[in-house]
Amino acid sequence: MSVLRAARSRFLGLFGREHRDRDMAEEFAVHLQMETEENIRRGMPPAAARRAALLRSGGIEVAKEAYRDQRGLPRIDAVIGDLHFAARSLRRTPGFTVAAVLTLALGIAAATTVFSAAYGILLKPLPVADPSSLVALWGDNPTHQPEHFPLSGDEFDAYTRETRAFSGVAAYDYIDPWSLGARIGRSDVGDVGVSFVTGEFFHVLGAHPLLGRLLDPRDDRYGARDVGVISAAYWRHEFGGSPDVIGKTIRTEGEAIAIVGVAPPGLDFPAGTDLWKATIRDSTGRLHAFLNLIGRLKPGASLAQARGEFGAFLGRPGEPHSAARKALRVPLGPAVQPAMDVVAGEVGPTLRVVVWAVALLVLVTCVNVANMFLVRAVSRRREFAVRAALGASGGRLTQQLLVEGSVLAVAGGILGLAIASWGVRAFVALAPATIPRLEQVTMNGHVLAVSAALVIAVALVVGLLPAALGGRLSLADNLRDRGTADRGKESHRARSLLVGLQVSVAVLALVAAGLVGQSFERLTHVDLGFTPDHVLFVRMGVVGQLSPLQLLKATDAMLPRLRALPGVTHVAEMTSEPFQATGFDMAYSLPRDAGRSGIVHPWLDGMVVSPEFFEALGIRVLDGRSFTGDDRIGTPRVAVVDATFARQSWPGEDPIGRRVYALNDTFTVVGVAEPTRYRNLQAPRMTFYMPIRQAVSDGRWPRYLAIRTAADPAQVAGAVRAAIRQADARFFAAEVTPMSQQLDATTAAPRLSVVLLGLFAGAVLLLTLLGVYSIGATYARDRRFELAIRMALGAQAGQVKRLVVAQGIVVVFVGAVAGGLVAFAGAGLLHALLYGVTPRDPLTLGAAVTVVCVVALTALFVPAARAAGANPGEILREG
Amino acid sequence: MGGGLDVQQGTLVLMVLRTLDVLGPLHGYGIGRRIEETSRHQLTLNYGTLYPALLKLEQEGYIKGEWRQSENNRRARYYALTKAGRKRLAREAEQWTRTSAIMSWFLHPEGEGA
Repeated sequence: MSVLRAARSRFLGLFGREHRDRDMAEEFAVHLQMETEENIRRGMPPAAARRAALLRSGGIEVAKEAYRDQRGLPRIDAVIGDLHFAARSLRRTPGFTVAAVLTLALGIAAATTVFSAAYGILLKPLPVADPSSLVALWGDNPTHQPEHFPLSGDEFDAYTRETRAFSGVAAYDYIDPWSLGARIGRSDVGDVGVSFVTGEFFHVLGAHPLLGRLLDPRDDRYGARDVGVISAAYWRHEFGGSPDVIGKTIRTEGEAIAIVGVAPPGLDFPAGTDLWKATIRDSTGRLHAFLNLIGRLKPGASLAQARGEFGAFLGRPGEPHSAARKALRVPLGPAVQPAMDVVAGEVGPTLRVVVWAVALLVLVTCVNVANMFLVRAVSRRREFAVRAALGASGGRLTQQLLVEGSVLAVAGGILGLAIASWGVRAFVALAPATIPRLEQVTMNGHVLAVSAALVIAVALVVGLLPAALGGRLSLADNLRDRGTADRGKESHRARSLLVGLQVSVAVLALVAAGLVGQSFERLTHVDLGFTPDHVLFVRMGVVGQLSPLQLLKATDAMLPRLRALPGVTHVAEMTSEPFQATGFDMAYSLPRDAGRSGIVHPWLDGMVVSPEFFEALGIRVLDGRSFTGDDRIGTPRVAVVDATFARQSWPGEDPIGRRVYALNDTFTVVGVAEPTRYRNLQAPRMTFYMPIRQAVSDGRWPRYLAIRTAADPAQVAGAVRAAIRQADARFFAAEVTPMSQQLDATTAAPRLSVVLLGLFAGAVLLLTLLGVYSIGATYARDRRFELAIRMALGAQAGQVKRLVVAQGIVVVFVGAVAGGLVAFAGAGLLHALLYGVTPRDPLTLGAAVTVVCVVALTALFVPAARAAGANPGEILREG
Repeated sequence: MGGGLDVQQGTLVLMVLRTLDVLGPLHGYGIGRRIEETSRHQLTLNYGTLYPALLKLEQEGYIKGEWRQSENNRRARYYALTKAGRKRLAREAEQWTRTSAIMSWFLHPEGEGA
């Protein structure tokens, strides 16, 4: 107990120093006085009495130290003293302090912001049990178009029965959430993203409902009620987070769905889902759907095992459930991916690159501040030498530097976090809506913990680096301020190393920014094959159950109204939306394939369009004709193909009148159109157009409209919405945007990376510039006597300049070349982000190295010019 | 000043507690003088030894200090034994007596057979 009492007492002894010091002084003084009086009583004269008493005290100052050590916790006392000292010292050099704190703040702000994004989007686990053992499965064939193949309901059931690697398997519709029209209650017509899943989906995920219940296996049995689970975000958005949402009904295009529960927040799987509903089996228990699988690996089972088992399953011939697949004749391999990767989607690679970039940025800012610190430490040589002479150990001085570094780091950290909180909000507001899990991006506990760790790391680097590299503290040399050739050499070497590192990173940054920038440039200037300007894109929604024929009749009735709107020149209907890489994939064969086995063509992108489609989008018809009103049910099926398909299928011959076998039917080619990138900006597909009136029997409803206007399409938007509503109250315009905006949304992610990497490169370049400048400046200052002497002895300005520049030039060249080599080696990492640009592009590498060298050399010229312009007489006199 | 021995920390504690036990509440100067006298001036105490020890005893709760008016009307800090201090004194005194008895058997054996 006494130990605790003592500890508490000593802790308290840290506070109220001045008060306690006075008490101590008083107690000692009283003692001294009493002793003196005793001596006087014994007969000593007063002065002698006092002196004797003092001698017996045994050194009052030392006693005071011993007393203080007992009273407080000496090590912490030392740190507190260092803090006071550091604060005073930093206040005396405001320029340095402000520059250092700002630089660190920027680095920490950038790191925190990016890490918040990375955590929310990539790292934060889904609110399910053991996310790392969840794996998504589907069939793929990388050499084919399309690559991705879902499984049929029968295959899913068979695999579920047979699997040994998975403890549970469920499935979800392979098409990303269907955007369906929805009505809730009597009002509120909007659209909802619906994902169709099998009954055990939530069980396999191991998620727990926020409210109500989640789907379970009885919900997909034949005859089950249409029930659904909504996402937490949709619940907040549409129902205001009110608990009486359970039991409410959402009426969509297919059915009326009763809400039975709310999913936990952050469960964004599949991405963009507002409502999960079970796909219901038929009376024989079969599931009619095209599905991706999701499974939970058994403990001990590996991804490789799962891949092997699934691959064997897919490749097995002669099974009844794979009859459908055999007809497709596309050999499939297993695609097995951790669910977390699937959730992040295509943003994953971009984000990873940005995280690396920011890590480098933080490194560079630390290096910069360490550099500044080092320069400052060198100029405080005298002070350190004196303190060493007075008894401070090397460790003590290092501790002091560390404390100073920590003060800067903490100040930078606090400021940085403030900037970052604004930055995170800006990111969420400005980021394109297609980025998954955006609402999970916040500055939460994890992010703050990482930032705190960063601040500590920065403090250590900034504090220890100068101490480690700063050189010896020989008393005599350091007290004499005059420079000799040897002095500061070690610190100069250290600083050169640091600046060299910065130069390398600058080259890396420029290469990355350059590659991504060129890639973006190419992407935005690619030939689309159609003109998106002056085109309004409309996505329609409908509430109620209508057959495809009824839907067609209803939308047909709308067209005259739309055409009559002022400024509208063409109105077209189509079955797919642009740039989403989604659509309808068709297998086909040609008459000449007969008799030859094993021919598998890449599948076509099938589009069902109205006759005005080609004019509305500005797609040139190169040969033959486009569709007319005569192409309807009852007449032979016709198609318009694109020029690529024509060239491939009938090289050198006239494609008009040729036959194509698809959809269990025979089509005759009546026209050839220009190839477009309508479906996928980066990877064009061969397109096969079919007229609406004939294709309606396939069950496709053209829910999208393209409206060409004479003037700005945005002006007609309101009128279009109203016109659709008025024509038929069951229909509504779910989305009305200019087509050019659709294009912008597609390029949003690359644009983001260009902006971020550009900023990153700019920041690094600026910091490098400062670093190189400081090398030249400190050299010029340290050697000013020597230079003055040279000038007095007749050296020209040019020679002096060259001397100063020579200091930095080696560092710059070596750093730049090193950076270039690293960029060459590592550029492959950027591969996922680039379009039409090779990562190892020599032109970009060369340009980056050159730019960095030029900028750095320019930075050297300023101190060089200043040194050459100095008055030698003045300098020598001041020595 | 006498060929003084430097006093060891452990024994100083016992001496301080005993002094306070015998003389009652006393200030630092008084404690120091009393110890020196009792040791017949064989021990030398300086501020750096005495006061930190007094502080430690106070921190651990064996003595309690408070400011009072001294004999010649000066403000001085007086220390007094606490109950815990009394217990510690009894304990340590007993231990010390036993230890020194054992030691003396070693150092001054009484006529053991050769």
